[in-house]
Amino acid sequence: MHVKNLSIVNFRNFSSKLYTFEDRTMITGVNGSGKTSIIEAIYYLTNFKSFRTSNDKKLIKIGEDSFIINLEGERGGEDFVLGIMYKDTKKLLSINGNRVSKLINGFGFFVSVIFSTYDKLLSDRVALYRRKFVDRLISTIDNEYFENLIQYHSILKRRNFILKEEGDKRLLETYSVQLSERSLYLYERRLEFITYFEDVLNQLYEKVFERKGLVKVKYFSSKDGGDFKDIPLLEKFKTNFSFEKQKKRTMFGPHLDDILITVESIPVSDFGSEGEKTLLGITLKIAELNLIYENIGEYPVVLIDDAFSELDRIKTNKLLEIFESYPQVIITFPKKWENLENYKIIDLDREKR
Amino acid sequence: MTSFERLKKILKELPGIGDKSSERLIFFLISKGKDFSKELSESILELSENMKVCSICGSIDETDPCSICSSGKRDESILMVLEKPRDLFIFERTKRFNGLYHILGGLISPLDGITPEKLSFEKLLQRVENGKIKEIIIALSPSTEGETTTIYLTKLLKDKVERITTIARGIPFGTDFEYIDDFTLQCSVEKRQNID
Ligand SMILES: Nc1ncnc2c1ncn2[C@@H]1O[C@H](COP(=O)(O)OP(=O)(O)OP(=O)(O)O)[C@@H](O)[C@H]1O
Ligand SMILES: [Mg+2]
Ligand SMILES: [Zn+2]
Repeated sequence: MHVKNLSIVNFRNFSSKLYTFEDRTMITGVNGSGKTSIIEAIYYLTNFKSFRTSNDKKLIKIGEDSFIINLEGERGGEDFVLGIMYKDTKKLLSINGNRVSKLINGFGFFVSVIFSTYDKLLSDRVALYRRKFVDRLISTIDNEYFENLIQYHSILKRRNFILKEEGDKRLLETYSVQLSERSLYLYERRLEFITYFEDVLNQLYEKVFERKGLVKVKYFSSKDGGDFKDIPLLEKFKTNFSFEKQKKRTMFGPHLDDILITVESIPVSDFGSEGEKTLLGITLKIAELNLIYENIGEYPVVLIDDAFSELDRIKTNKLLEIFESYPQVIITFPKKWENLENYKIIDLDREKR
Repeated sequence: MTSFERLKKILKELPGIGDKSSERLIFFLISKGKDFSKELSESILELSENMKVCSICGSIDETDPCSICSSGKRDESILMVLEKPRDLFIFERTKRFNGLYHILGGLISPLDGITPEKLSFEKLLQRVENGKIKEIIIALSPSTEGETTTIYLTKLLKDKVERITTIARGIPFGTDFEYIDDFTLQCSVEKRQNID
């Protein structure tokens, strides 16, 4: 997977620009020069969403009514052009000049992974980001998981509605059955995943710290109050009917579970320093990179935006070494990073003036 | 409002008809002339005057009770539960099912205001309590709501009837019966499964 050329029109602070990328490209420029915006435009063609806002309107240059991104790249040895136009809340996608009627058919065509300051959230005390990350990751490689997840959440919404409105008890029990059934596959895949994660995280930590077996990953199961047990969710619902009735929502299930990561027996989300949290976030994303590679047989484009700002020089260099083995890396730095000799430089300060 | 606009507005309430297709229909009607329009509007009116909802099964026919409920030739020990009258037409077309029907009038969907009381469960219970029914086949579309309604019904009918079955899966999740071919539909009835 490669990005060759990117053209953007009325995107963020840019009116109309064309950028060319090499295997290694560094984007520099002062704060507000538009480094993140360029990375954002590239990533937009992976998910058709920004990684820093869920409001697409914010991406349109102020005073304009639409933006266009065109990306020329290479995938599996073949050149492609992927284009998207956003106007009037609609996203029009084209691949090699042909309109793609459903956005979903374009997912996974151009794959990139973004490393940013948001990765730190993956080591946050709040489980939500971790859960979403794991769900998204398994979903990209397993359609059955994705379908179960969507159905799980739609049934959950209804079950919560019945609990809130004190509706029909028979209907509540019906939703319990359906939810419990959908949870089976979610548990199965997530538990498999935990083992995979532990392996990958240990390999990466070994590379960065040169020490073995530092990382332990455990699944926190809300229905079992800790370690996962092979008891159907339905049983938990049955024995906790009055508790849930009082709370007026579903209190157990995959939607409330978490993964607990300890480094040298210390839970990172509770006790980790800022640097340690950043590092864990980055390692989780590297696990994502590798997983995508194993599944599509091609490395995604690596996008790095300010992700290392809280790391010391030694760790930054170690991570950059790890990224050396990926075919394409695009990285932003506010100033030129002297250790990156083999990088093409796009200097936004210079081109503006 | 001009008569053009008036017709366009009403046509757009039909399923699958938007701005463009309603205009296309109107121009077609104009080109066909007055007799055609007269025939069309009269037959629509006749249909709506003659069609009745069957007070037993909830389907639609020109008589009440409907021709199936009053036939006397159908197997009264077996009852198929369906979502809507349209599904009954589809199952009758396969000519393989000789029992009776019961139309629920929808699927449970509390977020859309369709709670169990809004559907004809009470009537179904009454029919079951009258005694003759030995088997109930629940044949609802394979969607989340269809599944909810199926499980709910099973809980409701438990111990009240000898055998409860559902049509065999194999129909992809989320498809409407309308888009399934007759053969698959037939098989799904023949290979129906007990629910536990
Ligand atoms: N919709 C928009 N229209 C016009 N300008 C915008 C829009 N959205 C953001 N900007 C501006 O674009 C500029 C570039 O933002 P961006 O986040 O890309 O900068 P950056 O180079 O990454 O800065 P930093 O070094 O602080 O991370 C900012 O000055 C921002 O205010
Ligand atoms: Mg930035
Ligand atoms: Zn009838």
